Amino acid sequence: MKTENINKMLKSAVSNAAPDVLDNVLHACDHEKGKVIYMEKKKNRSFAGFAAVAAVFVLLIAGIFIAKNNGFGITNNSLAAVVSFDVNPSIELKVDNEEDVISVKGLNDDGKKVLEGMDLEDTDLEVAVNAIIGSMLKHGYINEMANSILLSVSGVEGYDADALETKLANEVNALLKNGAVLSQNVSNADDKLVRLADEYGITVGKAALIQEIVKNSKTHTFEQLAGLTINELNLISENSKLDNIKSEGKASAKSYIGKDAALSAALKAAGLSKDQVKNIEIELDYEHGVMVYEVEFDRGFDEYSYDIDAKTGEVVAYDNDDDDDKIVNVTAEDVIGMDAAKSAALKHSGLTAAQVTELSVELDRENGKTVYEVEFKSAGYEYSCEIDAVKGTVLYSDKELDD
Amino acid sequence: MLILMTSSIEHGVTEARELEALLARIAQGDKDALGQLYERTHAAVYGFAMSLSHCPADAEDVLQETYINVYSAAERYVPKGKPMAWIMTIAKNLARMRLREVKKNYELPDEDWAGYFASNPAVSSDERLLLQTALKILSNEQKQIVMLHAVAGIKHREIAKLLDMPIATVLSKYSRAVNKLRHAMEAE
Repeated sequence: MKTENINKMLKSAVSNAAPDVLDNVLHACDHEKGKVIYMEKKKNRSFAGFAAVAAVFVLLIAGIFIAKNNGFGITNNSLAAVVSFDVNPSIELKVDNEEDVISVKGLNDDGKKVLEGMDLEDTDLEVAVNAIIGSMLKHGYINEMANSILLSVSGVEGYDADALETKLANEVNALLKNGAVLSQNVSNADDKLVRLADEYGITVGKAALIQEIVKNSKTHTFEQLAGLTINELNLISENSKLDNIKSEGKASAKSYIGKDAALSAALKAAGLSKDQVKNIEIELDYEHGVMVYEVEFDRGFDEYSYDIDAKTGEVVAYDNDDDDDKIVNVTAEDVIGMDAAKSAALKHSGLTAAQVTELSVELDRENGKTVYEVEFKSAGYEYSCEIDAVKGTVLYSDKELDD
Repeated sequence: MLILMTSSIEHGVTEARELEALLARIAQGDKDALGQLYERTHAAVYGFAMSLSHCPADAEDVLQETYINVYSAAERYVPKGKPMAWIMTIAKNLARMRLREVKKNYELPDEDWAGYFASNPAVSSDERLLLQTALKILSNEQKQIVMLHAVAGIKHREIAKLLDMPIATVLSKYSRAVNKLRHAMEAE
């Protein structure tokens, strides 16, 4: 069967197999206009340390209805600044130059939930901020496990956004006793950043934070980080210096196993004990789609680097610099090793190491199995082979003309 | 051959333009336009959703939620000639969110898909076999790449961007995946 035929058949098969959900979609859309839900993940637990603070805010929220300016004084409705809060909920407030709230919007599902039952229009910004932070605590979006919040201010021309940023950052810092507050002035955000924020359905402020992290990192891309919470981003950014972003307090890592446990897992995987290694470095990072502890240490002239899943303690990947091999993903299973995989693939093809070029070995997951993907070239052919990483058996092999 | 290629590229450009016109109407709240977009693209989205999901129910949910999100996010779509890639990004994010909810590395028995296809009379037995084989023998990344290229017609270059992989990796995984599928189908 030719490739085109396979593709054609697959296309028709998928087309026939696709269920018809249009009616459901249309029905759901009646209720969904303006809602953005595809980026964020939920954190929904409340913890004792913050619960007491949260209780105070419930009272504050109740007080808002008295504090409103409705019908009293002069309301100046021209936009002076946009303030956004990101935790996981994202909320945007537009304020006039008297710092009265013109409008409030929850930019994602969580943001809407935070604002539920609150009517903050025409209130004083300070009151609104109190209420929003209080509601975030009450709903458990800010807690001991995830205590970071990002505050971004953008002012119209001539407006002192820096002053407002400082004032609000101080306020939020005071409200969150053990919180971690990141703040920035994004008045000068360029079109590219605004487009990126749009594309990923996040605030310009969050986009600016991610861009800063990406700028300082060799391994991260914007897309990878767009789905993370502010607490995760804050933890990652601890390793790098961010321009334009002020940081107060320390991001909580309490939902993770901790550095000691990560080191133990890495040492165990390496078959070494703590006194055999030196220059130990451990940092939290986001790699391979999960939060990991990057554990590095040296033994003699060999450098070891392990990525340990920060929640489960599993080895996600390792890199051993004692030879020229690339980064290799491993799972916690007992694998035969790359050399054994190479030998098995060569033996299967009836070739020796000397007869092949461009040999590469990669560990991968296939259909629930851990396999080595071995590829090499020889005498005008390109070989690829999959070796069961545990049993060492050849699962699949292919040879085609190298073009 | 050259003529064929040119016309297929032009076809792609026209297609993209038409989809963008639909997205612009959807941004205005036009549900007819959403229906048309759905008719033209839902098979491709479903193929990708299958490659990203552990079970038929998840794939169906991802399909459905993708269009709900397209409807609400259309006003933020910036026309760059890649509407399919944009839609697929939404599908991918939805599926990843769902995967995070499900336990990691949870492997679904193949019967779930097999039963699902078997209960659908529109799918011929050959097609059922091909789908089951593809879902069974290909790695997650291979599945995604094959669905994006063979079913959705997205270029390797764009797939590389979408899946955050070097283009060389996409190409090699694609060719290996198709070869694997071919071998498996010939063996049947």
